[in-house]
Amino acid sequence: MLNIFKKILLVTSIGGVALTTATIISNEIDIDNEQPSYIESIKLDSSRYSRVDDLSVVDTELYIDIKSSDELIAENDKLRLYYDEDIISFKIENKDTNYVFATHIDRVSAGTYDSLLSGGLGIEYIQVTKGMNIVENVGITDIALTQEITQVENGIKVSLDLGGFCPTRTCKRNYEFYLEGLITLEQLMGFGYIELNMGFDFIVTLEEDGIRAEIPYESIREEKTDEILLSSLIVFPALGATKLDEIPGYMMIPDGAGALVRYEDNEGRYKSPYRAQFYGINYGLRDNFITVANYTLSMPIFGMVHGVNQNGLLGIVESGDYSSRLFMFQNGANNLDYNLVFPKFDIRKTFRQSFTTDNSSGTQRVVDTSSADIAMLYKVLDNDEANYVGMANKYKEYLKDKGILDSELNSQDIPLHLDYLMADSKNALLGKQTIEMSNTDDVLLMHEYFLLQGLSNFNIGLMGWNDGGYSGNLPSSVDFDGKLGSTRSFKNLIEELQKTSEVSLINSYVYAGEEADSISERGDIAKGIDRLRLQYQCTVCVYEDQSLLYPESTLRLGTKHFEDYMDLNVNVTFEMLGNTLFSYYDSGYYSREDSYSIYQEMMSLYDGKAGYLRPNAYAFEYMSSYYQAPMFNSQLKYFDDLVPVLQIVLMGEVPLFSDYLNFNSYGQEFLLQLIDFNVYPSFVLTMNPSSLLKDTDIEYIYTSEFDLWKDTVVEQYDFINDALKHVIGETLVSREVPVQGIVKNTYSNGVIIYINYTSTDKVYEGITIGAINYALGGDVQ
Amino acid sequence: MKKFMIVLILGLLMSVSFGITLGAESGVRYDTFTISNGRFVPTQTAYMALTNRNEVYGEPLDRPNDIYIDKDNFVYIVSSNIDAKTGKIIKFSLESQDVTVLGEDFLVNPTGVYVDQNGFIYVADRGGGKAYKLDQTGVILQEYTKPDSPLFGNDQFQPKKIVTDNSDNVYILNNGSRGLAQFTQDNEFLGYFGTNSIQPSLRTVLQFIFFTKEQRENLYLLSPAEISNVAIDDRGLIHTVTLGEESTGVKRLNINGENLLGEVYNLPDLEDVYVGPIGNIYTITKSGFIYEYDIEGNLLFAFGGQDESNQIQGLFNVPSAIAVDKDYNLFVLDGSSNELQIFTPTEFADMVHYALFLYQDGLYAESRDPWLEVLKMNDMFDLAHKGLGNAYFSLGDYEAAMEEYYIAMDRDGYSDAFWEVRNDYLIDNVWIVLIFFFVFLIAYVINLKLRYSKYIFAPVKRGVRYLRNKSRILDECLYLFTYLKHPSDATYYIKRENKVGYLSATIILLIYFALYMIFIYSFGFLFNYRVIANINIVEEALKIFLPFVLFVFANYLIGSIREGEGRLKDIYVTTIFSLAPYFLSLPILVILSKGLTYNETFIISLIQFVSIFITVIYFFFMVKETHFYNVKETVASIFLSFCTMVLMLLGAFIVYILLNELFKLIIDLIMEVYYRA
Repeated sequence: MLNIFKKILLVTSIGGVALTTATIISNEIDIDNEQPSYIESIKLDSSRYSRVDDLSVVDTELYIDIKSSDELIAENDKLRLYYDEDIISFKIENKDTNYVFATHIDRVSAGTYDSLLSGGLGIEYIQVTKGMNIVENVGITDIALTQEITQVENGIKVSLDLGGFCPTRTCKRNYEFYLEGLITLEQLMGFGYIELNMGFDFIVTLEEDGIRAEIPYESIREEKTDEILLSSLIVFPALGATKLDEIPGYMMIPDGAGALVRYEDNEGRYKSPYRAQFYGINYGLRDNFITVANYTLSMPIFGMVHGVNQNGLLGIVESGDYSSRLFMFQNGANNLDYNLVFPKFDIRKTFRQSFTTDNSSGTQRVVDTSSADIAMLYKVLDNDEANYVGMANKYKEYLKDKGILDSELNSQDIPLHLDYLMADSKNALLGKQTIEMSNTDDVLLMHEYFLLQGLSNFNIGLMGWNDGGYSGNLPSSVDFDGKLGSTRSFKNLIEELQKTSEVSLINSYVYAGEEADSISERGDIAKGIDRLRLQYQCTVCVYEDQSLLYPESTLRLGTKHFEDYMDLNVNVTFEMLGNTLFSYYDSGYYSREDSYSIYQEMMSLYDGKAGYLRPNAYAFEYMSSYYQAPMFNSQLKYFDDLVPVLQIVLMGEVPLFSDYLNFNSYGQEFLLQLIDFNVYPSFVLTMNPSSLLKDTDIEYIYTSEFDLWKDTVVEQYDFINDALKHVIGETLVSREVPVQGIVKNTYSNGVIIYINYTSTDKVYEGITIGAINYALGGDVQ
Repeated sequence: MKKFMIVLILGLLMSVSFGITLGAESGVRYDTFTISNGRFVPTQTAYMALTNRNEVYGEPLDRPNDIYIDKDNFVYIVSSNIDAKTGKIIKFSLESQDVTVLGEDFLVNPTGVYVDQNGFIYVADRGGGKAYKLDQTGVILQEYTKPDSPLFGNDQFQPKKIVTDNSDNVYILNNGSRGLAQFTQDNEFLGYFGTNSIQPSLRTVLQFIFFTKEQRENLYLLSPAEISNVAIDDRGLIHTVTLGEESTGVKRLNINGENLLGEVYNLPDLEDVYVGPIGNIYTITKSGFIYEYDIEGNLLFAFGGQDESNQIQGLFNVPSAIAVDKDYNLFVLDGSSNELQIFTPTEFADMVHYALFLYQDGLYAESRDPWLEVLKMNDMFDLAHKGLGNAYFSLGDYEAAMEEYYIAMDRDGYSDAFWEVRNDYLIDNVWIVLIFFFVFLIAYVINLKLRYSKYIFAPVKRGVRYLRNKSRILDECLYLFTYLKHPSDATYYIKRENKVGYLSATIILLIYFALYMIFIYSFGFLFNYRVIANINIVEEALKIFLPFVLFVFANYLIGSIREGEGRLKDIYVTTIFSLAPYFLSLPILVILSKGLTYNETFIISLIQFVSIFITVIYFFFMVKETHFYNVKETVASIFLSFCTMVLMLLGAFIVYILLNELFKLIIDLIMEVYYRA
């Protein structure tokens, strides 16, 4: 009783202090930061916002015709599928809109890309005898081949045998003579003819609302593996291609939250295409592939719209996604006039095996990167679905059908995510010194303060709860740091928090800090494909070594600690599990797919008991919370719009939390963006001032002190909750930008949220939306 | 600066390796840094990259070279069309959709533009070899051409940049090594202004000494560092940026051409400079980094970077110019991608600017709230702590000011605040001091008569004697004081009678080390420039013990071939004893440093000087007495000992390198066998 009384006294006294500091700090310092009209206009037009759609109708002259060479191979209520065997290409006709998507470009004019874009497939191969050089983007129409077509249910199977191909014009000319028997094969090879001698089956079937294209891994045949190895397969490189700005619309790639590249004439300004590997960088296999994106393509999808709200396609990589790359050519890239978006599936990759410590001598080697079947699913979109919201919802539907998304959010108020940083460490005269940021009593006090303020739905993470603090000590066994409180007080704290909140302990099982528990260098620290340990040095850090662990070690530790978490009845927040996949060497080569299958075991063990930081799509099935939801995209110059594709996919299924709002330098505008994207707020808090974190490895947490932040947390939460509490568990039906800077989000329960990003009040559909503010409309209760 | 680059590169690497856990999502493709205790630390995004444009209201930019924004928010961009060999001035408004093109008929390759208070446009046309003064409609009012004056020299006249000051002088940047060519309004050449000087380095001095006459003549072809760009502020002060200078790359020149800014944090490849609304200085480097300084040259924000792929918004390929409008929006031209990139300040930057605005206006008290708000956003923002310190100082809250200055590591501010605090303390407590003083005085005077102090000190002395008899080690350690009183006698006893053993001497050495550690830890903040967190005990131990051990051995070896009397043990002991004055002065320094301000720095310096001076004398006589040398022999012995120390280090280093190579060779052999398998 006395204790309770003490606590109340403490909380009220803190409240008192809060009032006085509040008057100091949030006394609305009024700064005139009104920007000139030019700046505001280009700002709202930039790829940090969504633009007003060009709703013009696609010229019917530009519709692709069905030709006599196109053979109808399947048909259903909605679609017809045609095949042109001369160029191994397909056409999909939408019976409702008469719009046709073809997997090739007629009368293509793309220089070296002509052959790739004039047929439905492309390959890339490794010249084993020529220093493992990779020949890229070889189009199927350039290859001398034979095909055997068999009917399968709703489609066809094309068994392809690739004979060889001519990379040069002289060779092509002489190929005719060879066919006529005028010159021998040896002579032809003298002109550069390459014998491929490989083959595979290509199965294309019509689905209810699209088509599926598959290349079974087992069907890949290679004869001259000592000379030529297949490295990549390119599926439908020209599907949905458009020329310059002929057709209005855009391409969608799931970079960060999502990016649109509109079909505009770039006048050749952007010379490089966008390219990135699905599910991020492979730390274990550093090849020459460089991406300039700083977000991961976390979902294996892409799309294109031909005429907004008219026709579109959504591509879903169903299989082979662990070893595939996405390419997007905005016109001008590699001097092409076309806009293209397509995946490449990598079967093998080359890497440099170094023989010396200083990397001065070594050799190129080949490694298998995938043994999965290749499967692409294309969904045809039309009318209201033919936009990025439609794409996202289609993918959501796909995930739901597969049982990957099956939960539903349901609460009165939106959850507030708070990470309480408890301890970290820095160098001391001898060894390391633990810096206490908040002990168990502090966390309880902070929590009780928010309860008193009327907040009721939390999602709480404890950070640095372990021995030695957050940096350098993870993965840690479930062993609380005694300096922060006894195990009993930790247990009490967790129980207390759990009355209103989901509680997780932050831990890491994919990378290990220098002083992690029970990690052995030989047994646990992974080696990359080049057999070098995946260890990273940071000389300016307190803990200099960071290492990636073998997936087996991840699973071993995760399994070992599982019971301890369950005893405490807490969730775990996994730092890198879910967003990292790498190949590794462990007395044999292992691919990302192998990593995935081990991680999957771990994730399913913790099914529904784990939160993930920016997880890839393969972790969606197992997560209870999504943390650090991306709110931007990679801000590449040719990106035109920022759109919440990821958010629309996951909306209503799991709570998505933002990055810590402590570090928001954009003010209210960013809160507005959270409302726009339906993302919940998140803060990191400490009882002690953050300046104590100077000289630790997390000095990037430069503001977190509870006393400074407590009012802001409540204010900002209320601001967001007042909008988003009306749409908890709902999905987004449409997202429109009627005028620059205004967004109208319509949800499945009829609630409309209007967002005004401009600096002036706006009236739209009879509703006044304040400057940098939102308004509710539709069926608000 | 190098350290910063390393940090930056590391940052990039880290974000490549474990991107997820590092820092917060900023929505821009660069990290923003500020300075905290002389280190670059991450901070909130200050400017967000908005757009990249190759046209303005439909007018193509061609290759943009320079940009200026006047007080009415009109933007002037000079650009050249390389194919057509023509140039133009694009003038547009940020408020309306007005765009005008001027000078297309006579400009060839304009690379500099400036607009004065009266709206006259000054253009430097490098390709045309002329500079112009135009009115707002583009009519030429004055041409600036190559001066005939012998002062100008033989340089070609290819004006790169141009500005005018409040007295209507026109400054043209032609050959940056010579400085700025100063003209009157009427094209009369007045001379060069703001020329950089050549700083003599060790290298140039050595070259000067050892080179032949001919070589030396060639040396004089060395020219001063080149001014790469110029800007002018509201007060008419010229700012220049210089290539290749590490910490004086940004200069603000007074009327005599002297630099008014001290050392600043800058990268050596500075490309352009611009002065913003509250005297803030903006610079951009060839590598695409934008630095913003306050009016005093304190670094506020550093961000940006290079992107040769020309794909990333907010990074640059070859930036050519930067300008700032009155709302702190940044306009940056890129001469390779032919683009104008625009950045707009975030709420965070707005708050910092607002606080600075108040602070620079002397409204310290008013600036307190904005500074608090800045600190709420980033507790490690040094300038905010300093600003807050000033605010508290002006409000008379000196203790709070001290605390803020301490966090900001602003020693001058701290010293001033501490002076006030000490002053208050002294005024409050002066009577205690006086009472103590008089009590002591009276006691002293009485003691002169009655000699009662012996009743107090005698038992102490007896006790010490008793303990010395009891403990041999203590006795030997305390022999140090005998040594200090009578060094030559003591040396004799140490040598002949083994007065002091290894153990006792080593204990004293360890006590020295302890004193030293206490000193570096607790030496007063005002005088202690070490970063406490970076102190590494092993490193410090090496610093103290290694030279000592090396000297003892070296001196022993030299002594044994130069007929020195000292045995190894004698040298060991006497060397330790001779260093006592320095180490014994350390506690005094620590105590004094706690109570002194910068006004009394000389006391600290004096004590340091005296202690070192005495130590040197003891050291000299130690060698002399230990080996029983004359002065000449002593000097030779010390000199040779130091040479031997250097040789020993070199030898160890060479062995280390050879062993390392051998080790690597073995590893590589094993690796190759293993990996080829």
